[in-house]
Amino acid sequence: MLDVNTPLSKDSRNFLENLRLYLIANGKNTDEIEEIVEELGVHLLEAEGNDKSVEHIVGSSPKEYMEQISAEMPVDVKGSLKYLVMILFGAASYLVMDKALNGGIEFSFLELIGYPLAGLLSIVVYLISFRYLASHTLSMVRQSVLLFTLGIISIALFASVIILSGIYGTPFVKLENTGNVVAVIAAISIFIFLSIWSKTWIPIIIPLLLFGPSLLMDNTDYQESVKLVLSSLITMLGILLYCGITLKKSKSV
Amino acid sequence: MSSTQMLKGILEGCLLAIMKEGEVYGYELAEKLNRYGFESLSEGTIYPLLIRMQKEKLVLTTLRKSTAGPNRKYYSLSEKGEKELNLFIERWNRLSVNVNQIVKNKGGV
Repeated sequence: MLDVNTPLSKDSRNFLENLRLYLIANGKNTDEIEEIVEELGVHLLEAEGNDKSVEHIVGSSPKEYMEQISAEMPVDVKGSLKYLVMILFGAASYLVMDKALNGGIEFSFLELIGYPLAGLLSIVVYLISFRYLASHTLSMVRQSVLLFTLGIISIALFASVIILSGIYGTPFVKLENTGNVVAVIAAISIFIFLSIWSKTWIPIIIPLLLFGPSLLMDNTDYQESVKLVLSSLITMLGILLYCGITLKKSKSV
Repeated sequence: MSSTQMLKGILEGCLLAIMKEGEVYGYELAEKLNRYGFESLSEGTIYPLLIRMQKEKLVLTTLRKSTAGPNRKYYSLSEKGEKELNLFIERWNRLSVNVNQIVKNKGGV
């Protein structure tokens, strides 16, 4: 991977980051992506040493240039499917954990169909938007509006599954005690597997921060409302702390 | 064939011809093309071509350390690339003879 601390100009770094995002959103092979990003980085570095601008390298339209590169790289179907399956499995494990800790695992038929569908739709919407974001120069405001809308869309998709299932759904799968324990162990194993596979702590830390505090609070004698506020506070602070530590680490490398 | 596609084919031939003279890395290739008169071309144009030529196994690549900074990717001709270069030279000679004749005769036969 290209060193983030190479003395490349901001324009060049932006272009390389956008190219990487564009190619990922187009389902290209990650090794091949890193290869071309690195090669272009070397070129840009040398070009900047000779006072050439990014435009001199990529032409007047970065979008067209990204398309040209993308067109020469085959879509990595197997690799993309792997990511898709991992994301869906990860999301399913969150749901299972959440249900198991809040009164037991119970899914209606609508939920069983609806959640994967909402997940897939969200991924498609995100990929299309990332392609757009990477190949267009947008102001900070527009970028934030787009990302915010994206968040709302996926939340709305999942919320409608929850609401519809509340109205029309009848329990289709309902697990008893042993079933719940087995499902939770499976979910935890998936988190650990995802963490090893992605070589990051995120798949373990996020569920720990989301579910840990309320579990802890359940063992205290505080009032319900106090429990709720405290556990959400710990979750939020934990996530902020984790982001801070990661940011500091990536800067000091 | 659109004019950009034609230019791509010609550029590919030029890249092969430059590589025939010895191993080169991307920036060097772009500079050489520039010196031969392709100044209007943005330097990055060569990379989509290089990706394709690599896919078609016309070129071999090696990563080498450089004193100036990160590793450079060097390109050289494969056997298939040499054959392709010879075919290109043949095609080009035929094409340029034809075009020259037409231009010299100002279109009349």
